[in-house]
Amino acid sequence: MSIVVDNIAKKYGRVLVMREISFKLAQSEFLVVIGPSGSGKTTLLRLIAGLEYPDEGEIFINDRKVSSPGYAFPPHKRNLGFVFQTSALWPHMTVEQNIKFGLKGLSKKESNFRVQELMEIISINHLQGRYPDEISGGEARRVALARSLAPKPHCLLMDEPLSNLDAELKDNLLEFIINTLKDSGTSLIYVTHDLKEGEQVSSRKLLLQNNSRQSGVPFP
Amino acid sequence: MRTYLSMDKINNGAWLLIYLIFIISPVFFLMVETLNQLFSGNAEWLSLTLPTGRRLQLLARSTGLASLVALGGGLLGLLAGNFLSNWRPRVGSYLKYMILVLAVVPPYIHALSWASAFRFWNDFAGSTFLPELPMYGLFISWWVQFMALAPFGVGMALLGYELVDKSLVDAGRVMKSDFKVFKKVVLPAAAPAIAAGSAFMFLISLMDYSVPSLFQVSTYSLEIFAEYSASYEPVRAFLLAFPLMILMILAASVFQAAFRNMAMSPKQPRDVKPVPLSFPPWFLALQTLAIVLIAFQVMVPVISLVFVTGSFHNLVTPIMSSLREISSTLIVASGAALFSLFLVAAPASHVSGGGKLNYIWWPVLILPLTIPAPLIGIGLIHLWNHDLLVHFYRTLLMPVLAGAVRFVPFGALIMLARFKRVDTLLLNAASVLQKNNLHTFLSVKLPMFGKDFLAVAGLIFVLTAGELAATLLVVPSGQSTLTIKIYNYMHYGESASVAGLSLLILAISLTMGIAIVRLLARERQRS
Repeated sequence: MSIVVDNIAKKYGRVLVMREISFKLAQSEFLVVIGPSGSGKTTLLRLIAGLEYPDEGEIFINDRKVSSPGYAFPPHKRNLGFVFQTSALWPHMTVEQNIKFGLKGLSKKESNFRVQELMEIISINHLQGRYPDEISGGEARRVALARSLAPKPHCLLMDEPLSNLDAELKDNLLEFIINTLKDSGTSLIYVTHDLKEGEQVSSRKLLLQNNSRQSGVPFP
Repeated sequence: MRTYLSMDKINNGAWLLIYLIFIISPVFFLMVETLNQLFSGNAEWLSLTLPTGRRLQLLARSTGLASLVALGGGLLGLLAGNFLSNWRPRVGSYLKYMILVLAVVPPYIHALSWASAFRFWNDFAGSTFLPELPMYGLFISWWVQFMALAPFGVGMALLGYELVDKSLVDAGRVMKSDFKVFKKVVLPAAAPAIAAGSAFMFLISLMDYSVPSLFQVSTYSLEIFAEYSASYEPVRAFLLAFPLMILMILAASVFQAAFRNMAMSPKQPRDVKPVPLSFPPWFLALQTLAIVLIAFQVMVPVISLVFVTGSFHNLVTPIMSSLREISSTLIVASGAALFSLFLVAAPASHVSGGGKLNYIWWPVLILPLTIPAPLIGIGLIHLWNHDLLVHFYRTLLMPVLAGAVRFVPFGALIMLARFKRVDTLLLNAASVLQKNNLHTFLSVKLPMFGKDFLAVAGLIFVLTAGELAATLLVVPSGQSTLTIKIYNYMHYGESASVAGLSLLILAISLTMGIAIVRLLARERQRS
C-alpha cells in the first residue's frame, strides 16, 4: 500500500495545528513521526485514517484520493489499522470479542483460528474471556495491538502505542511489532515523542514542529 | 478518592440532617405510621397491598400506559438523541439542548394544547375522508404524556450519546461501517442513559393522574387520592400505593444504576469536529421522523394556546383576575427554589465522594422520587398538622415543602452528575493552597458550580410552579396557585381563560427553561 500526503493543513477553530505537510510512504515502508506536544502528530494520523477532514491538501492511498477538504472516503474501507494513544478497548466486549471485531469475510472457524493465533503470538491467550477492566494497562496495549493486526491491514498507524509501559515490556513489544510488520509486508506510520524509540523503528523520520511545516523528509 | 466538594464534614453533616428532616421525613412518617397501625389492630388493612378486581385493572392499565410512554420516549431518544449529538450548528451550539426546554412545561398545558390540536384536526377531518382522532381515552392520554415527557427521554439520550468516549468510536470506524459501529459500540455505551430516560418517563407517567383524568381515564394514582379523600387515613393510602411503589422502585433502580454509570463516564477530549457518522437511508428517515415529532412537541403547545386564547383581551382578563394566584405561585416556586439552593449540594457531594455508606445514601436520595405525589402531600399534612406547628401549617410553607420534597432529589441528582465530572485535583489543589474554607468557596467552588446551582434552582422553580398532585392537598384554605386554578377551570371548560393563563405559565416556563439550558450548555462546553 502506498500513501501520499500532499500539502495538508489543519486548524482547530482558530488554532493552526499543521500546514504544508507532504510525504510519501511506499509499500512495506516504515515512517516515524516525531514532534513536541501540540505539533499535530495525532491529527496527522486521524487525517490519514479518515476520521477528520483536512482544511487544505489531499491524501491518496494506492493512487486513489481518499481525503480532501469536506471529503473523506470511509475509514473502514481504507484497509488501515490504528493503535490509539489510549488502548480504546470496548468495555462491554471481552478481549476475544475486541480482537474479533474487525475481521471480515471469514468463517467462524477461521475467525477463531485468527484470534487464537494472534493471542498466542502476543502472549495474551490467558486473557481471552476477560473484560478490559479486568486486565492491566500493559495487557490492554497488547490487546489493542492484536485488535489492529487481526484484519491484516496494509498499513498500520500507531499513536504512541508504548507510552507509559516499563522499559523491558516496551523493548519486547517494539521488537515484536517491527518483526511482525516486516514479515507481513505491512507499512507503518509510528508516532512518538521519544527519539530513541523512533530510532529503533525506522531511520526515516518526519519531524513536526508546533504550528508550522514539517522538516526532515523530502517529498516524495 | 474522597472529594472536597463540601465545606467540611460538619457542615456537610448538618445539611444532610436538614435534608433528612425536610425532604425525607414525610415519607419516613408514612412508613412509621403504617407499622404503628398494622401492629395496633389494623392488620387487615394489609389486604390493600394486594389489589383485586377493579383496582387490579387500574394497576394494569396504569402500568401499561406508563410502559408505552417509556417505550415511546426510549425510541424517540435513541433516534433524535443521536441526531442531535451529531448536529453541529454554526451559531449557538447550545441550540440542540433546547429540546430540554419543554421539560419544564406542566403536563396539563400539553394536555390542553394537544386537545385543541386534536379538535382542530377533527374539524378538518370531518369534511374529508381522513380519520378523526379520539378526544378521550387511553390513546390521547398516552400521546399527551409521551409528548409532555419526551424532553426527558431525548435529553437523557442526548447526554448519553455525548458522554460516549469518542476514541472507542474512532477505534471501530477504521474497521467497520459507521452503522455497525453505531450498533456495536455507540448504542451499548449510550444505552444506560437511554434506559435512564425511559425509566424516568415511566416513573412520572405512573405517578401522574392529572393528564389521564382530564381525558376520562382512571389510573391507580388517582385511586390513592380517592382512597385518602374517602377515609382520611394516610396509612390506607400508603398501603394502597404499595404495588405502585414496588413498580416505581424497580424503575428507579434502573434509573439509578444507569445514571450512576453514566455520571462516571470519562470526560471528553477537546472539541474536534470528526467526519460525521454516515447512516443508511432508512435510519436517516426514522431520525427525520423523530425530529419532526420533536418539532411538533415544541410548536403545538405554543401555537394552539395562542390560537385558543384568540385575543389580547382573553389573555389579559384572566391574568388580571388571577393576580393573587400568580403572587402565591411566585412565592411558592421561589421558596422551593431557595430551599433547593441549600439542600441539593450536601447529598450530591456525599454520594459523589464514594463513601462506605453510599449503598444507603443512594436509595435515600431518590426515595421521594419513588413515592406517588399525592402520598407526599398526605405525609406532609399528617406530619405538620399539629398544634405546635399549626402556624406553619396554615401558610404557603406547605406547598413550598411539597415542591421541595418532590423536586429537590431530582436537583440533587443533577448536581451529582456535575460533581462526578469535575476533576477532583482542582479541588484538592485549592484545599492545599487556600487561606481558609471561605477563600476556596468564593474563588474556586462558586465560580465552578454557581451556575449549576442557579440552573437547578430555576428548574425547581418551574417544576414547583406546575406541581399539582401534592400542592392540591396541602395548599392552605382560601389560597390557590395558578396551576390549581387552571386545573379547576379546565374541568369547568372555560377554554379561553385556561388558554390565557396557560400561556402565562408557558411563557414563564419557557423563559426559565431557556435560561437553564443556556447555563447548563455553557457549563458543559466549558468542562
